[in-house]
Amino acid sequence: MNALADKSYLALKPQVDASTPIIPAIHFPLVAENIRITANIEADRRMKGLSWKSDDVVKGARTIEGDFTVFGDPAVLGHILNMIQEKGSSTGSAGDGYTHPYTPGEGKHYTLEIPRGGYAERYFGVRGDTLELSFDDSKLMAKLAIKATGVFRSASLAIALTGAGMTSAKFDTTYEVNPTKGLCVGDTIIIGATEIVLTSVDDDGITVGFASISVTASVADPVFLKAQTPSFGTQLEPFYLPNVKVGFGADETAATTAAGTEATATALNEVSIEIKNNLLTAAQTGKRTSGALFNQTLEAQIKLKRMFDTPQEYRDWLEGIGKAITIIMSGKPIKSDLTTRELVTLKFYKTKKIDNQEPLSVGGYVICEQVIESLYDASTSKSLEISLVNRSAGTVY
Amino acid sequence: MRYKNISGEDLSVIGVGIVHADAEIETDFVINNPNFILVKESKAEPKPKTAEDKPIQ
Repeated sequence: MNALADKSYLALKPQVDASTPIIPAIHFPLVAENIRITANIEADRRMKGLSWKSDDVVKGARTIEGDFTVFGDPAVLGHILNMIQEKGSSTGSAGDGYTHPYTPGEGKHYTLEIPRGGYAERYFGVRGDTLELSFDDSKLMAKLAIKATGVFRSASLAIALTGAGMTSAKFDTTYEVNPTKGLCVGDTIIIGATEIVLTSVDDDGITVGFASISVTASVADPVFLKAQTPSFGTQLEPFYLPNVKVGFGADETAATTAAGTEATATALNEVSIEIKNNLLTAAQTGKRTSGALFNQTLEAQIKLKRMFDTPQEYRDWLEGIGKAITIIMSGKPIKSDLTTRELVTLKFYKTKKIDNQEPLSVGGYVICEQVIESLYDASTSKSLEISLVNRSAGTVY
Repeated sequence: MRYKNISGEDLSVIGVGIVHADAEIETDFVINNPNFILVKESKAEPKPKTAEDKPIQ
């Protein structure tokens, strides 16, 4: 049976800890997904008296990584930022909106589910590696590169199921040492054409339990996780480029003041932001996939295009003159008297340009194309601060 | 089948429509979603009307 990608969706939920998968019950529309399981399977190149390259393959370290893209709306951004940055205490109310502060640090571990056809692929222990915020046709797009500690994609039966009164199944361990890892109580699995709701997932990593059911299946028959029926909350609009104000200043206060009004903000023609955790995939005993994901050096860059004005930008670049940058994206009003809005504020406390090009082409305006490195500001002990105002209480993160 | 939205949020389900927080809905569509719990397995079949049910004239 062919499967149409449009029937897919993104489901996610923060895990209570790094290693316990959860049924992801929060659904968002998905723009694109490309998450790969790199099994590092290669030809066995040992000398076996053959002139042919190999007679079998061998397994290597397994990694799960890739990216997905969604519209940058205030609801989904809360979770995306939560995966890549450390969230502080949320404040606010349903009437005014909730403010969620994020700072560089350890993001939460998530369980993600992205179905292919009628089958769900469940990634667990997912953390954000690189977040790219950019504008496509004026709409904010959030592309999050992730790494995961495991996935449940499919399994196969290790012991046959023989008809009436079946209450458990054991999965084969050829591919995965803990083949049931990723499944949760309440999941619907499909064995043959029989749908079974799990009532237990045993600690042995190979056994699942369910209420007595009649099911007949042979050893090696496939087991799949059934895709959920997605339920979407109120669909919010993404942030739009015309509602973005960017302020430059000697320090964060000056930059934030500059970003406050259209008159003092700097008009940019294009802007994109990349925030990186440079996650380390650490192998661990007892796990065929990576056991843990750790932040390494944190970094961020801003790329922008602006109209050429004076040679000032060129001079600042070569002389390494730093500036603080505040980017404020505003969305729809939240409070009934329109005094609070959906808002994303990114404060880069210190930045310097690492590239500044001003190419000329016939008939075209001169545009400065800049790559800006976000730096650590020793005077405030800060590098990047993000704040999000949306309609979701902090309890969902 | 009857499902209840236990998520605490208004949710829309494709094929069903908008289900308000804590509301119950009647549908023939199987909802495999942890935001919803099954309240009643399936619709009770209405008893077919027979000659005996007719009021005595």
